[in-house]
Amino acid sequence: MTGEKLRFHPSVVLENVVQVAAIIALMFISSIQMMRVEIVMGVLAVLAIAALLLFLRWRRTTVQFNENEIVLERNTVFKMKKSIPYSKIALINVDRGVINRIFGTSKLKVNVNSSKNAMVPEAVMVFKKELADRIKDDLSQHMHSSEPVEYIDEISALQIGPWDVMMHGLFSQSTVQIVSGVFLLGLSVFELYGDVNGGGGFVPLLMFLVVNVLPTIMSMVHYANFKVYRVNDTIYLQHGLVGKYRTSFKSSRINAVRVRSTLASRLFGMSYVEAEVVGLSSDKNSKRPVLCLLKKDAIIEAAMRELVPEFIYERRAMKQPETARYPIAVKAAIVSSLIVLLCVYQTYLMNGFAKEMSLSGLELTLVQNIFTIIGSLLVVATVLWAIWSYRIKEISLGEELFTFVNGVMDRSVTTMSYDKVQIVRVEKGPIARRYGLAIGSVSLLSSIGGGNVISGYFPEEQLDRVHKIVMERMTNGKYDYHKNES
Amino acid sequence: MAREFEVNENGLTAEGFKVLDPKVKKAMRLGVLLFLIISVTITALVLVFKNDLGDAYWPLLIICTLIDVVAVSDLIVVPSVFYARYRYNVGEDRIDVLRGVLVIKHMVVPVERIHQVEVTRGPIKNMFGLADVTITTAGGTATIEYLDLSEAEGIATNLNEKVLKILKERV
Repeated sequence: MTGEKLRFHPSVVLENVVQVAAIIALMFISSIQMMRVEIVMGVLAVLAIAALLLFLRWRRTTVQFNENEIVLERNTVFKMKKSIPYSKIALINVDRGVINRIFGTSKLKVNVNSSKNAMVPEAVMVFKKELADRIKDDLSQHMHSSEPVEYIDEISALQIGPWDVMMHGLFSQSTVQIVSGVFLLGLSVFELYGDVNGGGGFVPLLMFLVVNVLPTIMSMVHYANFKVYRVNDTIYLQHGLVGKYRTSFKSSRINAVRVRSTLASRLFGMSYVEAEVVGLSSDKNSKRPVLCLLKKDAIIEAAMRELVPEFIYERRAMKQPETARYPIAVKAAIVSSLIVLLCVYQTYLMNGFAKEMSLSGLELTLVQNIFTIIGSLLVVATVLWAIWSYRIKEISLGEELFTFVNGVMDRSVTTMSYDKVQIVRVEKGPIARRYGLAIGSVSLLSSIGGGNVISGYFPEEQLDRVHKIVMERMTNGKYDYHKNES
Repeated sequence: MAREFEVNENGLTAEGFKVLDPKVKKAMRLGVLLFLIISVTITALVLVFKNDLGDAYWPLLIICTLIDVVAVSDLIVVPSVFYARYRYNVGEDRIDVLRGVLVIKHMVVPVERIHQVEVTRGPIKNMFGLADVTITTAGGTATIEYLDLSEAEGIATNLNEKVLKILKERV
């Protein structure tokens, strides 16, 4: 950590050129038979220019390992200067591809805990293997380390049996998924019934299997033998029929708790609980851990008291004010108008098609009116969405926690801690502004990278309270960073 | 103009938010102009190859013309409105960005949540001595756009120092 400006190993240029060449090859592979000399020369010229640009980029990119931070600087046409404090680094991976092995180099990939680079590393640096190893060791010493949690086997705090796992697999699917599944199944039966030659209905049946049956089975296999319990401030989770998924995390790492229910599950008075936990590694298939599968609402409440009492508070729900109906109605009117326009255009095209094909009778009526029927249904759905959207959305602002309720079909009640809020946005459109209303959006670090939780239309001063409380808690000492590692 | 964007004789809003450098308008116009040249060229190509395009001619022409019209309005209207409706403030413990033409957006980032600060500038911004400051938190990024380069560098240095100070205090 000398602060000296370093340049990456030059092999990085070759690696990038190979990548560009591979992309070009992929683009031209289908037309390889009609390759002409001019095209080959053109491709080579593009490759040469790319190589030159990549070389210049390498020449003008430096990295400095200072006392407290990494500073990456690129002085090309698109200039960049990036500082990464060591204590914000979440992960350092070493990667060695074929080119790295040929040149005796290693690729250091640095990730910080942020939405932007949950999937893509914040910095990728190529050095000689020995230097890379030394840098990795030095960086690891600077990194913030969290206490490892050992796994303890205990009896589950919740009684989750095979029936619950089956119900969860069937009814935790989104309403759109269930509706499209029913439609596809119906279509396949209809086609099968009407097809005398056999083979009809196969495609919709296959789609039904992929869209509904497979996810249901996967969910059942994934959540079989579900077990969850809490010891002190650590929550333990295990499930799985074929492979066993084991996860444990401290309650302080939970950024938000979400109680979800689909339209189908609400018919049975059931919901399930998810937690937003950052940096889980053991459950790669489901990075957002489910704390309780679909259960009756009373059991869900008890489960939350047992597992995440930190996220329970006396909620004083605030419904959207009456004036919120106006911006919602305008949105619905715009969407409906677009639907009508599209349907009118499609009906015009279909009429032309019907004339060309010389259709008659029922077929002609169906072709001429199909988009009128679809359009009317969509407009009705939009109006219903607007009405329900107005009725359902709520916010509650407590002292330490706050909640947004969302979702017309598939509902989610998200309870968040002010101390986990990263960015607050308050937005007001021209109609909402007239009535002093706005929409609030809160950014949190979620299990799958960054996540925004968006409110409905509420008085602007109420939404402003969110960021005011966040800042107040920092200044009056209520915010304890020890409890809020991210 | 909306009350929150009104500035006093010191160029600050009632909440102490700052105004961007007026050259932001020129930089934006140049960017849109380049885009307009490309889109008009594509429209011209569609007109030239009318016979080859067959049934696709009219839909393509309508789409290209619409893009051209939007680009022209972008060239004339957007830079002035963007400039008039963009305010920012880098305070001791928070960063505020207030912006928006039709939809007014107010973004608040607590300094405590900052992971990293980045100064970036493309060729057009570079020509005008402008830069963006991108602030990365665990929950997403926030950008203060079209800042004067020295102002951007100053903000980045200031924020980096604050973040390092917070981190040192916790060790």
